[in-house]
Order: sequence, then C-alpha cells, then structure tokens
Amino acid sequence: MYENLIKEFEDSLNDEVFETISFNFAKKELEESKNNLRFLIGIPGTGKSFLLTHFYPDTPILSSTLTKEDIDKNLNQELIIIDEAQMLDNSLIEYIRTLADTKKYTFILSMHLTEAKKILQKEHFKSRTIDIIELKPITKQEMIQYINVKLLKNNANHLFSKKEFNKIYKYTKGNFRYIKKFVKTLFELLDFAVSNNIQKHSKINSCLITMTAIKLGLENE
Amino acid sequence: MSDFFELERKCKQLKRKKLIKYSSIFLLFIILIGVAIYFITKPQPLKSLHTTKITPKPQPTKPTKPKVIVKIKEKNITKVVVKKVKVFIEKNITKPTPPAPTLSLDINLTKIQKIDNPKQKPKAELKTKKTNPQPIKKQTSILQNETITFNKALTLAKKYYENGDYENSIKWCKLASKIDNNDERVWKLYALNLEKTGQKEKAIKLLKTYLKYKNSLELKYLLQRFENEKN
Repeated sequence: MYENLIKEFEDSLNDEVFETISFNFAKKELEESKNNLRFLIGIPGTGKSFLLTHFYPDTPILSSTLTKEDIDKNLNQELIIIDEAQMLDNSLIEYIRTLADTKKYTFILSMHLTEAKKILQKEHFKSRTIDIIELKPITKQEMIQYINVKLLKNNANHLFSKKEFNKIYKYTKGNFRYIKKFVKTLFELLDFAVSNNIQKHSKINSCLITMTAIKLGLENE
Repeated sequence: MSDFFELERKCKQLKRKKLIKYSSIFLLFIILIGVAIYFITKPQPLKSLHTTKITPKPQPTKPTKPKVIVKIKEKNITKVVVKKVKVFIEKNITKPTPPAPTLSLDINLTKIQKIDNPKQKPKAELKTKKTNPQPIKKQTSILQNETITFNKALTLAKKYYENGDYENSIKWCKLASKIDNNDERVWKLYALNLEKTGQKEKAIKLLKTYLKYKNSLELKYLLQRFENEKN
C-alpha cells in the first residue's frame, strides 16, 4: 500500500534536488569562489556529496582511497573533486596543497565538519587563504516542506500532523540522510501494520515514530 | 518486518519508563512546593529578648571572690588585635580584681562623690549597707545581678579620675576595655591614669599598641605629648 512512498524516500544520489537555503548558499559560494583550494564542510548527511554530484555532473568525484598516482592521472583537468577528504593522509593533503599553489588546478575537498577543523588547524593551511563553504542541516520548515512535496507527489499529504513532524525533526536533527531514512522506515512499519491488519497502527502515530527511532538507533531504549 | 512486535514492545516499555520518570519528577516538584509552602506559612516563634540574667552561683569555699561575667564585643576588631590587647593587658596590668565593690552599678554619680569623700556622711541608702553584716558579699551579688554596660564603666572611670582616685579609675577602665576595647576614650583615660600614677612609660606603650591597629588623632597627639614630656 505504501510501496510508492517507501521508494520515494530511498536515499540516492540521483534524487531530485531539494534546494534549501543552506544548499543554495553553498552552491552560490562554490560558483563565485576563485580560490584554488576549497573546502566543502558539514556534518554527515547534510548533502555534501549530493551537492557536488549535482553541481559538477561532468567532473569525476574521487574517493578518499585515492593515491598520488590517481591525482596525477586526473591532472589533465583543471577541477579535481575529492569526497570524504578527511580520510586522506597528511602527505596527500600536502601534495594537494602544493598542486593548488601552482594555480593551475582547483581542488574541492568535501569533508566532515570536525575533521575539517582539525585539518585547517595545521600550519600549512593556517597561513593560506582557503575558501570554506559550510553546508548546514536543514531547518524544521524545510524538512516539513521536503516531506510534504514527496507526499504530494503520491497524493498522500494528509498523513502527518504537526506534532509528528516535530517528533521526526527532534530525532533527525535536520540531517537530510536521516530524514529520508526515517520516513522510509516509518512507511515500512506502517505498511506492515496495515497489511497485517494491526488496527492500532493503521495510521501514523507517536508509537510508530518511536518504533522507527528505536529501529534506527536514534532512541535509547 | 519480523521485528515489528519487538519494536512495539520496546516502545511500550520506553513509554512506561518515561511515564515513571516524569511522574516522579512531578511528584518531587509537588513535594518541594508543599515543603516550601509549609515553611513560608509556618508561624515564626517570637525571638526572646537577649536579656541575660546572671544568677549568682553559690560559692561556699570562696565567698569573697565575685564572679563578673562580661560580654566582650569583638565586632570591629580582628582576632589578632583582640589577642594582642589581651596579652598586653595581662603583661602590663595586674590581674583585674572585681571593680570597686562599694557601689552597685546603677548608683547615681552623686553617690560616688559622696562615697569618695570620706568627710561627708553617707545618706540613708548607704547606711543600710553599713548595717549589713556581709557588705562585700552583698555588693558582689549586686554586681552579678547587674549587666555591666560599657557606658556605666566608662562614666565611673571618668568620675574616679576627676576625683583623683586613679587606682579605681584604672580598674573601671580595665573593665570597660573588656567590654569594648575598640573605644578610644577608654584607652585615653587609661593612659591619662597611668600618667597620673607615674607610669608614663607604660602609658606610651599602651598608646602605641592601640595606634598600631587603630587610627586616632587624639591618641596620637597624646602620645606625642607624653613622648615630648619624657624627653
């Protein structure tokens, strides 16, 4: 019964762009930045990889497992994007910095907020001007808007009340990935309850939301 | 979704836990409010006035030694000062004997003059004392029953000084200083008494001790005068 909605909230990089304020702001900064070394930072699940995929669809995004040789292979292009750059070792970061200093190549390093702060504290970054673009978690209103848009597409916009939205936001804390995962799991549970004729949970209620939170480990038992 | 019922059970358990937690907080809050209201509305017992009545203790073995209980006020002076002053008094002054037992503390100043003047005949009140077979004992009890105030002691000391009875004046000065050793008037009178009794050296020492811890222009001048006279 809720298969369509479950599919709708599946986490995928090919998802439609939902432009939040923070997303638009980061996009604009990426566009306008003229620095050869750019840091895209944010807490996990805020949509860094999603932003890079959609904003630079033709540029290959290198993963954190790359080596010097992998970088050298990609030196034929001006822009090099590295996702999860917090996993790179110091020598590689130093190599990237040296390449960026030549002004021939532009690097975009996407990384987690806490690790980025540690990397930026290092001496060779302290003395340089680096563009730091932060992607912030979405607001409650944006989350409600996002869920409602998805529900409207499936003609099911009546399913959530304000209280339930508040509860979902309390658990997910504006983390985009968690929101999608949470709503998807919630619909899975709802689907199970409806298909097994469990009358008590035939609608979305606070117990179903708590059950979802327990399942995703967002609620301490 | 095999874990649906397990999740439901956990959800119920969690709700129960939360209910217990919040209800206990609520209960605690109610108890606290109740206790607060009780203490606010509880009638406060009236504080008894601080009139300490000192009852004489029977001392069959030593009837002549009166026990005078004196409250020493140590409000504005530090402990060190009090200690120093006590040491000084102990060193320089003979052990304080009970103040002149000839009069009760609430006696009029005219009475003192009359007592001090041996030529004049004492009046009726004094006569009764004379007829008393144990006058010293009675006077002791009077002393014990009375609350010796600083002003009384100081006035008596002054009067004795004015009449030229420096020894008695010193005694009352000592007593007054026991009650309040901050008051410079006592120290001044004490120093003047010492000067009169030919103990200028002691008087200088006394004034210096006071001026070490307290500032007094009058006592400074007095000290200067004593020192100039000495030289």
